[in-house]
Amino acid sequence: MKYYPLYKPFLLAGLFIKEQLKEPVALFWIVISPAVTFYLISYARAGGGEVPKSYLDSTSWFYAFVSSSVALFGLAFYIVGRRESGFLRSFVYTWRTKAVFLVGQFFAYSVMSIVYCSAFYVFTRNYFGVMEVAEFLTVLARFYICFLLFSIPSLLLTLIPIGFQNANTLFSILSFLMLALGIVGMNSSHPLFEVIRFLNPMWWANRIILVGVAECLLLVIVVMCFFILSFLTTLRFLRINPVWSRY
Amino acid sequence: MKRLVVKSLGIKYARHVVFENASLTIEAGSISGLLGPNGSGKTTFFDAVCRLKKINSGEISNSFSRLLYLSQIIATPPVLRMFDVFKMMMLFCSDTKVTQKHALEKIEKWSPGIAERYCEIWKKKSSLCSYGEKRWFFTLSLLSVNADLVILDEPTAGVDPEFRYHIWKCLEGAAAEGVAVLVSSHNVDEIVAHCDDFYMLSQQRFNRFTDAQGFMNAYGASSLDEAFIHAASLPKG
Repeated sequence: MKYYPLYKPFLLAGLFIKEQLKEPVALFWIVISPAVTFYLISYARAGGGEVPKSYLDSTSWFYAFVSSSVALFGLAFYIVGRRESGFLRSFVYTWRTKAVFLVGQFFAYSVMSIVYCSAFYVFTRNYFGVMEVAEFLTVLARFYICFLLFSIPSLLLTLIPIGFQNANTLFSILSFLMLALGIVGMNSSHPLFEVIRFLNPMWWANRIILVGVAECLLLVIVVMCFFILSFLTTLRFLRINPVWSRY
Repeated sequence: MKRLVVKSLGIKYARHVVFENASLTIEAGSISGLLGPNGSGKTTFFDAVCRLKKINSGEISNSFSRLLYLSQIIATPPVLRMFDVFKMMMLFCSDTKVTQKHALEKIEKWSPGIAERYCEIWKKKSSLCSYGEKRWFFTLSLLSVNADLVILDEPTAGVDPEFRYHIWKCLEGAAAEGVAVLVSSHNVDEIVAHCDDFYMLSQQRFNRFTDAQGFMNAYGASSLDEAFIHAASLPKG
């Protein structure tokens, strides 16, 4: 019982995951849609006579995109949603409860990120041959670092006083822009695109998936440091009152 | 004795002054009511006590160590059942594990015959509970936590007479065990009938009363509602 306060974020994460699992249509769509898109693009490429590349060469942008979606539309969007629905106003009004809530939310979406990554691996790997545990664990580790990378802007975006609908639009625009600029900048050597690439988290996530965690150690350390900073900033400035409320 | 003492409180939003030189005291083991018209600052005051709102002047001295606040807004994840909502609520509100058994023991002692209704709601899906059922469930569950100061913002709003009766019985039971209860309401009758003392929020201050007659006399009224209307229509400042 003495250690009960320490278990709280884990117990809360369990309830948040249960809540997610009770919405199977949304869960199914988030898991299935990237895999379906991947097969559609592969089908179109095959029709154009393009030779299939290695598994990670072919899927790195997908993994980067899925990790950004978990951070933006899972971790951050649910924080905005819980604020705008009044849930935070009801229960989360002290520093301690804010910490329990944010850590619980982070744990829940860490688990969800593993679920999404695993599902995408299972659905797409067979196209390139037999699945391997070692490869899966490598992809999972890279994917999780990408999730942490995207959690940095996602957490900070929750501090902006915008409602549920506007948050959805903003996150969609950001997600699209990151992906579009990442792909457009891939084959361009124009100095402007080099600057955009440097500022685009999707490009860095793609590098982590392609190159590896150990090979991008400096980047991973920077990601960890900025993640801790953004988490503490969010904890300090977490908005409790819904934007629509007069308080 | 533990107490919440508010001295010369001043709060304003931009140029709108909500409180000026307002003072109030809440003591352990008592139920204190807070009356005031819409927009007079009841929720702002509760937010200030919970440090959700900064004060501009004065002092709030709180010697209670375990404060609980049930705000007007109650939002629960619609897909979860109320027992999961209870677990979630307790993760935020209690430092020790609180079970259904613990909650039932307390509220059944305060208001006998209530356990069956509580257990019915316990199993219901949150989205299928009415607003009144949720408020009732939340208020009683929160009271079962070992808090020493409980702040309830209009706990009986939208609640039917039966549930309202049980809420007041439980508030009185909690107060008898030493809990300080600060409760707001627009229903003057219930505040006067159940509270040890009550404050009328008028002219940006708290005016303290202990009985109906004193309240009516102070505002030259012949009924409680009339006294409330007179107090609410007095010029500010």
